[in-house]
Amino acid sequence: MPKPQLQFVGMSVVIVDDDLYSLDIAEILLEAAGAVVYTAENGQLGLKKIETVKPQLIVSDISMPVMDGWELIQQIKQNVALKQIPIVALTAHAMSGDREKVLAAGFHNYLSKPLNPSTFAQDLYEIIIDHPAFNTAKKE
Amino acid sequence: MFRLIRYFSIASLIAFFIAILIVTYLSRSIAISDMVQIREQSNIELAQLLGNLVWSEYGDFITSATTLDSETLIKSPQFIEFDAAIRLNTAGLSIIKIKIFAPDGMTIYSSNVEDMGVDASQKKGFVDAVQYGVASELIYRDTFNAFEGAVVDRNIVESYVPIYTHNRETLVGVLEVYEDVTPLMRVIFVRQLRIIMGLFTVFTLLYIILFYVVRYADRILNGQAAEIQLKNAELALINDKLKAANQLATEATRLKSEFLSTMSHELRTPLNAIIGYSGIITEGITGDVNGRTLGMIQKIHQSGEHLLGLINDILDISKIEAGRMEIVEDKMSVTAVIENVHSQIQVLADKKQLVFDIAIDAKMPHLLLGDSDRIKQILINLLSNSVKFTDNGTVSLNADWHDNKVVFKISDTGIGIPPHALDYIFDEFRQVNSTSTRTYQGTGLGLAIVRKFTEAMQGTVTVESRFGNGTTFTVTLPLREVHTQTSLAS
Repeated sequence: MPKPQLQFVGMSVVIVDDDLYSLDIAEILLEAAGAVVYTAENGQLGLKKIETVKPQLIVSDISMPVMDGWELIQQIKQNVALKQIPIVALTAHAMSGDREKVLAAGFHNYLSKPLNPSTFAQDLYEIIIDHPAFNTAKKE
Repeated sequence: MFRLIRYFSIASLIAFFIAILIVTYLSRSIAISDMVQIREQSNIELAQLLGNLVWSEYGDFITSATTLDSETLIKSPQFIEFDAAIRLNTAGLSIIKIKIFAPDGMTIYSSNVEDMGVDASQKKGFVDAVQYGVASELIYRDTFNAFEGAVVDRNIVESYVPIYTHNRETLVGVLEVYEDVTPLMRVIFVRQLRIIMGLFTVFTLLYIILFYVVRYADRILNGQAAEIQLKNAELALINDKLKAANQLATEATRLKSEFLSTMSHELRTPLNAIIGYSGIITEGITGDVNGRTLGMIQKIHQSGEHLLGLINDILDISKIEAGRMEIVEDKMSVTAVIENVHSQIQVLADKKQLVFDIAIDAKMPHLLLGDSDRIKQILINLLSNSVKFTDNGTVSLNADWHDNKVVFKISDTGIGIPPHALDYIFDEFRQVNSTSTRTYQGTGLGLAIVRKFTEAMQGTVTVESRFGNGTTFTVTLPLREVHTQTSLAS
């Protein structure tokens, strides 16, 4: 049984998703990769958590009640203290058209749902490794 | 509505009228002409006869009469005898007057003394008779000086008949014969009347018969017109019903696709849990799991993935059918798509120890406008099918650039497809053999999606196969080349 790699050791991550299973699974996978994980069920609660924790990485679903992913990222980008934190979107619609939309909104990249447990941590690592904020934040 | 009868009546009336006029005129002309000819002939004969009877005795006198003046001539006893002889020999005949002219045209005898001595040399009848042998004319006189005195209302044929010596060399004189043809004219007239009445009767009968025919035709036509109107009304009704049905169908499809869309989203949520948790357990993240339990959890994971595949396929199909699938046209590279597909399929091929060949045409443009995700799905569906249905040998993917189109050929040395199945393999939920669902797992939607995607991209997909001998799928897509300005420094 290959042991998960610890790509996220020392990093704090906030995951926002209204699907509780998805949330839980992502939490388990990222904790296994060494991250300190905080969760929130919708955009509004997510924003509060982010303001409190000031994580190094945000992972957010798109379609959520109360405040969805689009609004959440808007709020974050308008916040001086938070706007440089990289955000990755989780979306069930993984079609090319959506990609443009996601990037245009300010997301650094996206991963498709459902998450692949064996590759999620590595996939996430690979897409954020080139982000400047992440590079400086990560402790080797 | 048709007014056949009215038009018919007017037309036939005019036609009959014209016909009667023509027939009457023609028959009258012919009858009169015939009559004149016949009477002329008889006049000639009569002249001859008269000559035979009278000339031997009075011939010399007549000839010498030219030298005498009229007054004297009339009183001469020979003249009186001559006159009496003429009258005697013409009694009872239809000849009512005779004149005799000398060769120079002088009237040397007439039953009416007033005519005596008149110069007839210029008269057309006289001239023609001398020239042609006889000249006749039909004339009408209110009053006429005949042998017996004045008569009224006569139709007369007058003939100028030249008289020659016995050897027919010298002209001795010209005889003018007046024949009363009034009775004959009456006969002609009566005959005309009979013809007209006959025609009238015939035409009336014809009219009556045709009237019924035309009325019958009119009825039929009216009936047909009414039928056509009825049919049109029926068709209009059917059309309305069809429109309504069509609207219902469209609405139903829309509702169905919305339902499916919602449902698939709902279905994914518990699926996330199944795939996610079973995956975490099999990865050993939450601790070691013993072999048997691990095996079972793995099966749960695989089923979850399978279920996910089904939901995705169903959603794709329903989107296409609802017309909601938009084909993206983006800059893409065939090479990149194939590379993407390569590793995924290679894994499947390696498991069955199959050879996986890829060949890309050197002429393939670097950039094309197309939907890379959908093309990738087409290739994956076809290639995974090939791997699935091939037990040993090769699966190959060829990408060619031909005629401004991308042509993908996916071939395998697998079990092939029986000819009867070639018709329906692209249909939804159809698989070659329902028992094969046990051996060859599949949703039955893979090929349907391939066809629908291909068609949505204005392309075509065809299949060639020999049962037991391999299969080749050919996907042709008309993708436009993107010409980028290649910078010199790159």
